[in-house]
Amino acid sequence: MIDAFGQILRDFGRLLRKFEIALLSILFIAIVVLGLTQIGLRNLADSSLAWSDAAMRAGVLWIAMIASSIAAAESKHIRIDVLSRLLPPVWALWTGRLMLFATALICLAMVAASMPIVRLEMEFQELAFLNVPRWLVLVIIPVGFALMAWRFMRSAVSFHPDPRPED
Amino acid sequence: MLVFVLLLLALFGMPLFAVIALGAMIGFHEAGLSLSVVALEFQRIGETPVLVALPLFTFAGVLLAHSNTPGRMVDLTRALFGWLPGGLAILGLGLFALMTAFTGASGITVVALGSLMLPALLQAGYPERFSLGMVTAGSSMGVLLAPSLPLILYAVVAQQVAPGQAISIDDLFLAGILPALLMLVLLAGWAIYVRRGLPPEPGETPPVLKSLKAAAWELPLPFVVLGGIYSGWLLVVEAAVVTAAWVMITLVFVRRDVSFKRLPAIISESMVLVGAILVVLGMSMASTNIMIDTQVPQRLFETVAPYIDSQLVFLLIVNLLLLVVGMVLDIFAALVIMAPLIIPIALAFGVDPVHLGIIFLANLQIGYCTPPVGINLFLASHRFKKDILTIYRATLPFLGWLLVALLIITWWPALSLWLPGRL
Repeated sequence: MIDAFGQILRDFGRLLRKFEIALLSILFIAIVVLGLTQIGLRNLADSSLAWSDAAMRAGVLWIAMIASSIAAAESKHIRIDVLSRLLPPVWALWTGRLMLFATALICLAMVAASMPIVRLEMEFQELAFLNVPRWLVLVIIPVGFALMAWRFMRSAVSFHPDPRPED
Repeated sequence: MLVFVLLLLALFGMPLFAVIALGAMIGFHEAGLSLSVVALEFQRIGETPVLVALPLFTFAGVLLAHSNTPGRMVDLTRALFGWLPGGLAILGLGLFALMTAFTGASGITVVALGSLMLPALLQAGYPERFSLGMVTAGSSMGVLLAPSLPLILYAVVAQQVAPGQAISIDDLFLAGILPALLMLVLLAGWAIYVRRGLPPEPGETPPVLKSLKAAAWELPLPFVVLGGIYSGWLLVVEAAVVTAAWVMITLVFVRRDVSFKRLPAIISESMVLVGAILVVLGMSMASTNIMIDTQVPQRLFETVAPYIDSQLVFLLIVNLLLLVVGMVLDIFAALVIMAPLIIPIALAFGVDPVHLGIIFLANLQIGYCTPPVGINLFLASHRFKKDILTIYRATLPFLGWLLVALLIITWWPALSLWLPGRL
């Protein structure tokens, strides 16, 4: 039963990762294509797409959040971590888990902190660019932090002081 | 007390974005403000135009590192300048600077270019210790040259902390040129000195025409991008778009160095680097805001001002502080954490923010190769399978020269400020 549950979690994690990588690629290529179009229009036709800059900036926010979620799974977030190397292994294990767990809680706090902003934007119905409303751009912040919280929580459970290949 | 707890959390390995987020949340809570302000500040990473350059340049750097471009560049350098005494070392330093300027994170340079440069240097008859040192320290060159990401990030932070100063990215790009050249000249001079008396570089150099042809797709890139930025023809973000598109089209579609199938993996590898930087930056926008609101920099200034009687003494202390920070912290994290604290104090001492930026980044650059924990030292030790003490010893003379350059940069503001004033 527990094995089956673990398998489902792993399958879900793998699927999520594939989806995130695909989304990152699409967003990134879109930014490049938009940028090239903009340069072409500015230099050749002396015009520009008024919405393109806002769209590129929104793309960066989405990329930052999705990539941070992957970074949480691969423990690639920027850390200092000098003390835990000096600790005896058992201590290192539990401080490591504690830090990851605390990080997950901070991510959850960020979900809670960003939800009211998304809700407010939904009421205002302001547009970010073209027909895309601002709340749809900003919603990636709570979603991203929720994914990170999930990843950090999972790492806290499976944490081992020696680096092991991730699933 | 709060600072102490946060520091402890960071030292025990909590990701920095979480440490800063926690600090900002507690700060806003104590100031009686809603926690949503943290999120409101954080979302500005999606509203700062120049940050669009970050994913584009980083992608270009990672893709270049995965391609055969570094190899072609080393071949070309040997073909063109192998005959010149010290030529290989000098041009090698130039290559390192270019690669780091374009990729920002110089860890990539040690691994991708250093591992090609090292055998070339050894084959050309340079002593092993010198070659190891040059590859390790040389890979940190270029942080001060456009379009380096740390320069862009410094401008973003400085604009937030001191909006009245109108610190422009273009000024910083210009300001970094002469200090970066100074570092190059000092290290190159050292290379020529070490190389003296040795026979001309042995071994057959690759044929010039063939190497030129091989590098034909890469060669125009720095000219287009640097020329575009410095002439004002391309905005920073546009230069980043051109770089990313150019590198992707030539390496993936024309040359097929990297197969199309690997593109998503490379995009995601580079975006993870970007994401990790951007969440730290986003959180620090919130923490900077609350620090300015509660006048932390001003109180720090009032605490230190009685003990510091001149601008130069202040800058020397900043140098010491940043060298230590640069040793333990990644350059981007060091930047977003230290710059908001130091910039307001420096302004109060009458330091030019552009000059400060160059000093700042020169320090962090040197921190890459400072024992005991500079990241380049570990990467080099790992990559070249030498124990860390050998790498320390090999890097020390270069470190000495870089410190000399740092002192000159600190003591002589005109070196940084002359060009921005002219153009």
